[in-house]
Order: sequence, then C-alpha cells, then structure tokens
Amino acid sequence: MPWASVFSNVLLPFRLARRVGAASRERVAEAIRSVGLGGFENAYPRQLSGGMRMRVSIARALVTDPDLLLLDEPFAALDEITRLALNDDLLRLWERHRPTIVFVTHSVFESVYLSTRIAMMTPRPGRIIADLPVALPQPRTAALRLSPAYAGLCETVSARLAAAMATH
Amino acid sequence: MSRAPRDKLSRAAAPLLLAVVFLAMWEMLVRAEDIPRYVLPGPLLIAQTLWHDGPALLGSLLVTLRITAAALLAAALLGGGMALVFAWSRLVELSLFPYAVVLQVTPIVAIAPLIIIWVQEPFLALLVCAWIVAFFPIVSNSTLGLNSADRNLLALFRLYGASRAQILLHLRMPTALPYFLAGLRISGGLALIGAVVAEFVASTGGTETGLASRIVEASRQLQIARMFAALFLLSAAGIAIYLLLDVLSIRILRRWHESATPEELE
Repeated sequence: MPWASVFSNVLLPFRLARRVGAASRERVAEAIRSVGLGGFENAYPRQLSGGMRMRVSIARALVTDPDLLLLDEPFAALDEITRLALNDDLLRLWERHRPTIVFVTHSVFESVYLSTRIAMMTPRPGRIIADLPVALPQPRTAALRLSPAYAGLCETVSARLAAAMATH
Repeated sequence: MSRAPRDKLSRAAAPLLLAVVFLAMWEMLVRAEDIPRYVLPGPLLIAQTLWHDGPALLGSLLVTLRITAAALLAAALLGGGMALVFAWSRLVELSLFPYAVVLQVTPIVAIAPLIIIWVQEPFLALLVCAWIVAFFPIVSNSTLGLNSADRNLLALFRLYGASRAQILLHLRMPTALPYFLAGLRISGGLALIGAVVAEFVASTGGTETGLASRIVEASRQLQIARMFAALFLLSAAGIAIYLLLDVLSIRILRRWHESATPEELE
C-alpha cells in the first residue's frame, strides 16, 4: 500500500482482523526487525528499494505466524545479489517456525537451494511431471552453493526440466 | 541542480515580462489611436479604477467568493459522498450516474433562471447553481478512483478476510484520494464560474449580488474601465483558488503519491 508506512503495511493483517493492540504492535515491530528493516518503520514504500519492498511484503506475510505461505515468484523482479540475500533470509525465517512454504520459481538454482522437495510443472496444461526430494543438509548457507552435491542436484533438475520441455 | 534557481527565475520572469510588453503596447495603442474610454480603456486607467473602486469591488468579490467556497464545499461533500454510495452499490451507480451526466451537460445559464425563481433565498439560489457546475468533476473522478484499486492489493485484502467496509476504508478510499483531489482542483475554478454565471442571470432579474452584478451594472453605465477592474479581480480570485487547492493537494499527497513527491527520491 503506497499510502501507508512500513509499519502500517505490516500491521494490515491485524487491522483487518480488528486485533490492533499493544501485543500486535510488538509483533509487527518484531516482524519488521526479522526481515532486517528495523529503523524503517516510518518509511513509505516509494522511499524503499525493490528488495526492501519485498521484505516488507514478507514481514506482512509472516506477522500472523501462518502455517502455510504461498510465494509466487517473489524474487523474480530483483537483481541477483538482492535475490541471493533474500534467499538466505527466507531460509533463516523458515527455520524459526518451519511453516510449509509453496515457492514458485523459474530458477533451477533457487529451487534446489531453498527447498526440501521440488515439484516440476509443464506449461499449458500445467501438470506436475516430477516430484524430486532435495536431500541437502540443513541449515543451508552460502557455502552450499559451491558444494558438489548442490551442483549435481542442479544438473539433475536442469536435465529433467530440459527433457520435460522437449516433449511438450 | 545548478540550473534550478535560474529556471525558477525565468519561470516567473518570462510571463511577467510578456505581460509588461503586452500592457505597454495596449496603452500605446489606446493613446495613439485615441480610442474613447467607453470602448477600450488603457491599462493605466484600469489600474486607477481598480485602486479607486477597489474597496467597493472587494466587498462584492467577497460575496462571490463566499458563494464559491460554500458551493465547492457542498460539491466536495456531496460529490465524495455520492461516489462512495456508487462504490458501495453498482445498482445505485447505474441508476444515478446518467442523471449526474444530465446535470453536467445542461448549460447552467439555461437552468439558472428556473433555480432563481424556485429558490427564494438569493444566496441559496446562487449556491445551488454553482454547486451544479462544481459537482460533476468530483463525482466522476472519485468514482474512477474508487474503482481503480490495485488488483493485487484487493486479492491480499480478500485473503485476510477483509469486509466490504474495510476494503472501502483501507484500500479504495486511499486509492481514490488523488483522483478526488484532482476533481476538487477542476471544481474550484468551475464553482467560481458557476457563481458568476448565476449572478449574471440573477442581476438581470434585478437581484443585487456579487462581483458579476457589478460588471453588469458597470456595462449598463458604459464604465468599461470598471468592468475590466472587476474582471481582473475575478481572474485573480480564480488563480488564487487554483493555487490554494494545488498546495492543499500536494500537502496531503506529499508522502506517497508520484504527483506530489520531489524527483530526487527516484
């Protein structure tokens, strides 16, 4: 919401549930800190970069402690550096409460890095054609990106994807 | 950045210089051709008249401005309110909007005599006329704004189980605010025009009112300089209203809307 401060944006779920109180305000402040935006509570969206806006959206999604998060290409519009940083942040946030996250992406590397399970889909009609477990160690850190296991899995996923695209 | 002060200066100086040149040529033309003052008075004579009759004209201007302000306020409240009703009920919008258009396209000069006959109180009659003119831009702009809410945000609100009232209050109304203010700026000028037109009609019927009746009166007495002086005051008032609403709009939207934020933030 461009007309509201970062704090008001993250407070929105509570406001719509009519549960604005001291406790919810504390939760909002905590959610803003957890995505690394402490100090920007009173900033307006247009004063923030694309990556920071995405963090606000994530804080708003996390503030109610949901059991399920649906993220549809959340980092697609961001540059590579911001994207990698947000990947790591998302993993840290996930480790706290371990909600189920359904994360849609077009990036093979992102999918392998973030997930415990990859479901591959075909375009038109959208069907799941592969369901691959990702048996990489937790917690995942930037060092994993350089490991042979990670590279091998990325290769497997890419090959499966290429095969799937060829037959469709 | 270094060019900005010069830009600002020439932005003010260029039109002023043009005005001085234009007025000087006007004065010279009037003197050279010896044009009688009851056909075209020179700018110096008009300035003199403005100085001399100023206090009397200002009193009339105040009457006109009171009507304008009251009409604009009524248009903002009723126009904004009606747009909210439209946003709430599609059926009401479909049934009433065509009549708002009818109200808009009917020339105010044509209905003003009727209104002046029907509404006995002169101030109220003029207020109604000015309101009719000022009302439509606010309704149509606000309605457009209320229907322009971001689809993604709308989906987000629904996801959180927002009620219709909450969507209206927290999403559609903030979205509509810049549209409403744009309508208000258009209506500010229109309210003044509406008030003046209504005064013209009323004063031909003999009712003493604001600045327009001063103009009619002066034209009957062939006091052309006085007409120009009154005209000058009207234009100045119109510009003042526009600037006032412009500043108001920028102050309200400063923190978030593209139209009101400085470019350095980009």
